[in-house]
Amino acid sequence: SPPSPMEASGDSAMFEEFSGLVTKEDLAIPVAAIEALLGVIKRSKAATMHGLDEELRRGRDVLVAASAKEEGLLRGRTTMSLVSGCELMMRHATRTFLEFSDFDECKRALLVRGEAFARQSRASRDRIAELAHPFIRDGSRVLVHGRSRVALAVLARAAQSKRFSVVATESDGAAVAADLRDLGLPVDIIADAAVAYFMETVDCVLLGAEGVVENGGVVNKIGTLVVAVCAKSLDKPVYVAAEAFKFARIFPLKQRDLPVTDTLRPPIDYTPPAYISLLFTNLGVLTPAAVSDELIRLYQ
Amino acid sequence: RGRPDRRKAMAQPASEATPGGAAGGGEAQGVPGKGGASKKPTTKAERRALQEKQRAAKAAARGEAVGGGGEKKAKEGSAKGPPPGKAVPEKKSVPVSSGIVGHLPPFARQSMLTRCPRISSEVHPAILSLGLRYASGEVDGANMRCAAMLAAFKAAIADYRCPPDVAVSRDLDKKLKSMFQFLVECRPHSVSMGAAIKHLRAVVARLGPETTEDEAKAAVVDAVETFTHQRLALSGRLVADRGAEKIRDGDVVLTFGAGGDAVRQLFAAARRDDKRFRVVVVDARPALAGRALLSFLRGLDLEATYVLLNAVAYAVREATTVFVGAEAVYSNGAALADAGTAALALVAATHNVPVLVCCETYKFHAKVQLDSLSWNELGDPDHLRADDDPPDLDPSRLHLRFDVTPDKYITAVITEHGLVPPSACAALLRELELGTAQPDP
Repeated sequence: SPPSPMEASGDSAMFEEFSGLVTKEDLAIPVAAIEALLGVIKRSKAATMHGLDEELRRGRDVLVAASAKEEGLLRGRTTMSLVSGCELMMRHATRTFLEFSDFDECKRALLVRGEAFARQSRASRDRIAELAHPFIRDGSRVLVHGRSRVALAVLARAAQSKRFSVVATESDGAAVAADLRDLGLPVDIIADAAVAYFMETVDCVLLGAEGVVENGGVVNKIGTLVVAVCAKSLDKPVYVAAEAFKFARIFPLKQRDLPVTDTLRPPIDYTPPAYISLLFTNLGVLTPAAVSDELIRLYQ
Repeated sequence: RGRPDRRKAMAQPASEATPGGAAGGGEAQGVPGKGGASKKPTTKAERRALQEKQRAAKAAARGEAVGGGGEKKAKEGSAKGPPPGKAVPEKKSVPVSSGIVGHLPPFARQSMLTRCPRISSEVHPAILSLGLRYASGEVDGANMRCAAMLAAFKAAIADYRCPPDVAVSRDLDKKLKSMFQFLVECRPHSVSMGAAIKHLRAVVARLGPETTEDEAKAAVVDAVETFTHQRLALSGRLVADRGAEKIRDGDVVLTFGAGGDAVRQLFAAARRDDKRFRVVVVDARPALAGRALLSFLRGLDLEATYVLLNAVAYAVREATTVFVGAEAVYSNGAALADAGTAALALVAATHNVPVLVCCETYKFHAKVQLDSLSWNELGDPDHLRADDDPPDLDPSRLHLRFDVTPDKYITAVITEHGLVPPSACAALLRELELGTAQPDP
């Protein structure tokens, strides 16, 4: 059913806030979504928990639909991390609803916790960088694929105290090179097809993720699986830097289980947990097996 | 020296019962086994005479034993009969497990009932009939056995009367335990039955000393109904729905043997969603339980193929996914299932076909099992006889009913909480025991 004028204005206000956060403040998409949903709660005129829950769901649907249409906003990524960020926020809300019986108390608690969650999410990039940078050793060579801001944060933190070089695959290579040049790191851009050729010269692989799935595998830019399989066969560790709000409640068994519309030119692929050595998250450094343990705890 | 050699007697169960007094192998070895009281004969002629005497005595005793009903065990001695009121099984037909499965209870061909007719008067008819159906194999499969047991308990508890001056909870617990024990004697219990009885006994243990008989009975009946509804029926439906989501149009799905409750419901759910897919049933002797699954699939109007386990490497090449049921899932992520499942999982994993084990969480067991022998159930070895077995050969037959699929061949376990990788089974079990896990609709 088409939205009422009041709903429509609320929707556009929320979306404005969201896109502002993404473009101006360079926040990760799920973080911006969490803050946008927080705005929904603040502006909400609902008098019951059910009403508030409905508004949150509506907000999530609007965000997903609108982001899918606006190309530049998602920087070429899918809506996967947006959806998982929203889901996590909804879970927080539901848990708070169950704890409180009085609506006003509940709403207040929701706002307090929501703010804390948003703050924690903003800080997760830095926390990951702190945990991950010791894995990049002085004098090493790191292969990166895709243009993950979390991975970049890790490299930036490592560059503060170590000297190392980076190999970047060409699909995002130029942008990555520009980012890293500011840090004073030597970058070599290579063709995607040459990954196997250069793998013997690198010491480790550092990736971001659009989503971390239930068995500890990751969904990331197309070509990630190629890099991971190649790295495993040459015994190079594969590290994935991903915030906890990227944990998605999906369990793909095969590539075809991914939400992909253009089946001949998929933007993402799924890397099974067997090819991943460690995940750097704001919850700690986890093995792929530990991810499912964490998910069981997060979603219970 | 005067006592018969028990070890020798037990190692040769097929041989006739040796009478008390002479060691079974004494004669063959040419060493007189009689009591050390008599002087040992020294000359060859004397030794010969002694041997003849022993042989005659043995033949006479054997004739006596056969005439008196061959039910006496050697170790009882010829003078004493078996203790009164306690029937002793005929030694010929009760093989003793030996070798690598020596630690497992042997398969008992004669049911508890024919062995101990007196017990039948003490046992409630519902439990009695269930026990017989367990022993005959009429009620089989983890879910079926548990559901049937709970239904029988419900009937038995309805007729339960607590004796006066006894705490209801204590007596009720004893009653539950004895009923369960009877069922175990008919057939070793499954993990599903173990989980149910543990739950019921916990409920009974929580009853206060002031509880009346009616309140206690109501509590138990309520516990039975809730357990059956939540952990079996509802969970089974959730498992089926989640599994059905993983089936797409055009898929070729492999399954093993009878499949089990969860797998059947899964196929039914996928069919209801109008998915077009094909099922290949991999089956194995001696049970050949896949034939029953075939008629079920025909009822669902699903295209089905049937192969035996030795053709699995051929069948797996066209497979998209493998769905199997399980008796239990252990905390190390390994799955206990009908013998043959592990072979299917191994071949599928080698061909990169995902293997999904459908198992409700009530069948999750806290123990760790690494191989298929440390615990198993022995089946009837006669089922392994084939029509073309050479008549002069009689090898010992080993019929193992279950096997353990290691976690590395399992892609995910489908539970009512969603798909869980085998590495997370311990965490899920922990959450369940803490009472914090709730089914996720």
